[in-house]
Amino acid sequence: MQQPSHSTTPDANMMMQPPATITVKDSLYLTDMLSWNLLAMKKAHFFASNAKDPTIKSHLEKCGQMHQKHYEKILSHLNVQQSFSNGTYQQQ
Amino acid sequence: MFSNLSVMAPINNNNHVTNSCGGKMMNQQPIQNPETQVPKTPQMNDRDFINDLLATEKYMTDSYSTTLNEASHQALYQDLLGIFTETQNMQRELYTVMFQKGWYKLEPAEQQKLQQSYQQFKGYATQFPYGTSTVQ
Repeated sequence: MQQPSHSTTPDANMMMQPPATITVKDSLYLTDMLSWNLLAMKKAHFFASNAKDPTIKSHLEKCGQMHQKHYEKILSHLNVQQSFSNGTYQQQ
Repeated sequence: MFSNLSVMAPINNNNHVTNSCGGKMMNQQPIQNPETQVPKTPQMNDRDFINDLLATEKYMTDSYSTTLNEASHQALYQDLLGIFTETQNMQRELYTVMFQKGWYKLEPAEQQKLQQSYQQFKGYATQFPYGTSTVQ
């Protein structure tokens, strides 16, 4: 009923963006995405090592390397110590 | 055994297809490179490998798309959007390789039917809420 009167801006405490927190839902997606990428990089590497055509082989290997890079990027979002070392999210 | 390694089919050997813009509505030629042959055995071959990986990329972009809709904060969203885009582009790259190998056949639509659809939907411009100045 009583409104705080000390501020001229009506919603000084309003969050314009969600805070840089990993939610329960985020964490479930993150672990899912890690699993997809681990399988994808292993599969691509296995296929590449068995492929005959050098063009096909190099594209398969490139694809596997991409998934490994994505794995590392996604993994960093689970690293609480790194992400919240300053109290704010450090974007890579 | 795998004797077609040197088959690097020219991409533009079907250019004549796109030139058929005359009044006659003849059947369009399919667009396809010479098909690179692979061994027809129970073992997975190069075409199976790349096809399987293409399916994997498609599955992952679908999944990333769902994740993007649910990501909580902005930094997470931006990182995932970048990963999504790279994965989508990889899907396209694999598709392009398969097209170059002659494993995709594209069927051009009939010009007459395209023109009919064009006229039909051009007519719907009268329903535009913002005027029709941008419609050619």
